[in-house]
Amino acid sequence: MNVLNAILSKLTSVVLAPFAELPAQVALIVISIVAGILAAIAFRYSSNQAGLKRVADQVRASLLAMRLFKDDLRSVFGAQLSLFKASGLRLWYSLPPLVVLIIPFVFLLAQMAMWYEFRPLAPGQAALVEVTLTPEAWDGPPLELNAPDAITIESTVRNSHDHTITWRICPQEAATANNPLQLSFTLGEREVAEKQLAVSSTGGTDELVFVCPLRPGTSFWDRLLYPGEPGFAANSPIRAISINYGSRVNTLFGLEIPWWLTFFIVSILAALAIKPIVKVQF
Amino acid sequence: MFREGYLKTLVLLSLVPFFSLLPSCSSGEQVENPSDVKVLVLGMDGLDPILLERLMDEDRLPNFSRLAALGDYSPFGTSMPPQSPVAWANFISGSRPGTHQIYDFIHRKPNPEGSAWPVQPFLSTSQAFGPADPDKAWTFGRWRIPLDSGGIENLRRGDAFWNHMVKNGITTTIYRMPANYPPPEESPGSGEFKVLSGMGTPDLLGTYGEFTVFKEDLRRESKSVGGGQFIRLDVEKDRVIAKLEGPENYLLDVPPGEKPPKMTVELEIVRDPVEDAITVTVGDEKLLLKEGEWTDWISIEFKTGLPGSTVVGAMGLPTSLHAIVRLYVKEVHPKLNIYVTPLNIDPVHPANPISYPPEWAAEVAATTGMGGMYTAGIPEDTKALRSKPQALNEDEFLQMVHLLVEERTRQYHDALEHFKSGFLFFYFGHTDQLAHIFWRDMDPLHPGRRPEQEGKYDDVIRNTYEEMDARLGEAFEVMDDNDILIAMSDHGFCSFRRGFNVNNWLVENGYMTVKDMGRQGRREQLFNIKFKDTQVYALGLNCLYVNLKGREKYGVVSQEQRRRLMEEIASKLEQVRDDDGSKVIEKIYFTFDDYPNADPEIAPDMLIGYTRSHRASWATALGGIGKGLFEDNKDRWSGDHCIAANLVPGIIVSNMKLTVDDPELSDLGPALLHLFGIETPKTMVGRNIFGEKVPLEGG
Repeated sequence: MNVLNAILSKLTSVVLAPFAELPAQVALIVISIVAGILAAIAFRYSSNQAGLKRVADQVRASLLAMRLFKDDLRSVFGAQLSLFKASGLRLWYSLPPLVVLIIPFVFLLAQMAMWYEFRPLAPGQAALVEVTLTPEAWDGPPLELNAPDAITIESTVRNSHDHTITWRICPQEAATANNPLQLSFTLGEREVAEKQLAVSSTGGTDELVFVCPLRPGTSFWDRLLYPGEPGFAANSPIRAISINYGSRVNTLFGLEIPWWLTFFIVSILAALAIKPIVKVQF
Repeated sequence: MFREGYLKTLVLLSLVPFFSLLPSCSSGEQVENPSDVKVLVLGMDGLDPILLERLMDEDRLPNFSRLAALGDYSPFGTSMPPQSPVAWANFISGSRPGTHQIYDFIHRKPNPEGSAWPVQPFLSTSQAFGPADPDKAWTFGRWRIPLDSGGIENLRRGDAFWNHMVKNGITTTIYRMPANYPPPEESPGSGEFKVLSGMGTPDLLGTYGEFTVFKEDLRRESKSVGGGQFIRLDVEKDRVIAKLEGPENYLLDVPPGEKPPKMTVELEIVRDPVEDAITVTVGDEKLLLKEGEWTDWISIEFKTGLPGSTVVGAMGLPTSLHAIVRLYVKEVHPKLNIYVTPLNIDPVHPANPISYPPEWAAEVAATTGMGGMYTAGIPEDTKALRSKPQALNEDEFLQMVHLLVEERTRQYHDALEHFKSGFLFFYFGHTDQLAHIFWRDMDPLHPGRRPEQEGKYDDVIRNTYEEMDARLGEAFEVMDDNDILIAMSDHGFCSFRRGFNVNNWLVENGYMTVKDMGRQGRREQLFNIKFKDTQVYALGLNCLYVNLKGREKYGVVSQEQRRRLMEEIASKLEQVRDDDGSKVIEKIYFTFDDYPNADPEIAPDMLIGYTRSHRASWATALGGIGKGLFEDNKDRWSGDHCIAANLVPGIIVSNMKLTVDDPELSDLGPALLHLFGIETPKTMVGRNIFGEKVPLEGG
């Protein structure tokens, strides 16, 4: 999973690179359009198009029957039954393409979330960094947080109940390409982990900033949903590192719309628009 | 970990059939504003003319001086009694207490039916009422869902001046006008109308603010003090779960006579074994705090625990109540001590409306950038400072006020930025509360002064006046030549050196009988009065009530005896002298003479106008007795204004010339209406006090 995540993360960075100077929503819309078109094409080739065409014809026929024979109860009920069957059949025919699509979409959404779900810190804005240690590591030499000069470590709380250490940090300046802000953690003399810190000069409301709130442990789901940084190995003294970034507010035409909603609306519209060209039946 | 919300989002996403998602839009209708004039009134509670003039003479208030030089400045006649709810109600209604029927912070029901109370005190400006039919409810198991809800009633009578502005299409925005809770449910007219409730707004418990202190070294599990409670923390290995108490669980069905248990919210507190720092986890939110730090606002939810809350909640029944609090870490080692502010109503999910339109409170809160705002009517937690033991010391109290002022100032700047036309009122209340607390530090003769605090807080009030001057200067910046700028206060201030136990005096002079003269300082002191042997009783800060037959539950004085009794008592009270021979009472006012329309069920028969330096004792305010006739005021609450109205006027300063020598609060509403070309309504008695307008010279 770590290797796959690394490849996909790199790929996402490369795809988004041309949009770096543009408002963040531009990249979101372009990616949504491309995803919608690709989904329509994938649907075309992974579904029973002939069957879906028949179902569509059946639906039209049933609706027409209901209108024409509205005074004949038996015919209306028969048409309704036929409509019900057609709907079930459509669902059945849609399952294979949905199964095919759900895998790339989950990976895509998880990658997109690293850019659109969380808000980077602004200089002067404090955040909590929390490290969960294994019980063995907790009893060993103390874990230390080492931060660059641009980050002030304000205070620490060690919690022996769940083996966590929480630091409150406050970045004084934004991260740049030449000066990425990286936290490192040492046990005794040994560096055992690193974690990126996302700090943007504007607090990141309308710019593309990679923000990863969790460096996961061995959990499959955590690694799937937080693909931004490699998960810790089973023998690592650290189980996870998290940072409490806030949620990002995404606006489109002045309206606050969750990024995923924008993604789905735009991709659906793109798929509908491409429908006559790729000759796909939904 | 900080990822639960994100997880939910992604899990939901993978399940949602995305072909069905489509947004919807709605559009609002805007009403054109008929006026281009901007009128800004800055309400600065308790700004005193004597102190203001002195500071203006010392050139410490350049913007007040500038505005006074441009237009006019005058002491501003206050209400009798000069208590904030009464005074602001005079302003709002353009009339006097006989119209708005507010006479004190505390009123009483003279004949509370079905209650053990001989007379029942209640807060004068608003009142909660239960459902019309309390038995109308669905009951299942231990749950009881009421099908009829009660509400809250604004007890201020009369017509608010701004109603006439809105009716005439004037854009009207009111920030925290006192004595104006709850806000109206609908706009009174066609003008754009926004109002945020202020003094009088309760906390989530329905009180004027109850703090909580979590403390490690308490003997008892909990201890209630006036204004809050202390709760013991049993810390084990540097970790403890503290339970913050909220309102009673209003959906639990309990046998008659029993109270439902209180809803609670858990706070997980972890202390670092070495450093003076803790983490506090509330719900999904985790904070790290060092000793001496305040949090921003934290949102908390008190859940009833009703099964199927999500579904029932979607049907419109509130199954939980939301509050916001701030925490202050007083001490980490050796003994944990954390102060929690009163449960302010969450402006985003208000348990009761605190603004009109209802969603406006959340918009105002968003301008602070602190995750919320103080919504309780009197947010300066003076009770925490005055409690025994102290929940906050003077420095900590000032920190809290500083945070409050910072929040209010941001809202003020936002209000000015959006003020394009019409009428804007913005209220500052900390001027009053700081004067109450720190007046003794300016008064060398105050008996409550402490040698160890000598010189430490002398300038707190004066600095606050300078801060208000800065706010006035900011108003200049946004006003045009044609606009009107008014700064005013509802009353002045003076030192509160000596408390007068009015009920002791009534006992000594044979007008009252009590069961036990030794019963001082206890709760529900009204039960100590033998009403059947009592002719007059004092309750509230200025009020005297005749125990009248046919009105009071145990009334003994007939209508025929009443006038003679009142004259006799007034004559004697005006002769009372303190131990040093100084006069205690300037004047006794006969309410029904001064306010002929006073409601006989509400209004006191007499109002006591004290001299500067004297006031009703704390025991008197609750209808109780104290030790002896007089007592030194050693309380931190060392300044006051509940004396004779003529001795404690407020101030008015404006770029409008004043046409009268004796402007008073009740004049301002009608005068503001005249500025917009609106005739004085018949319910108002105030005069148009404004003459020529002097241009503001571009600020």
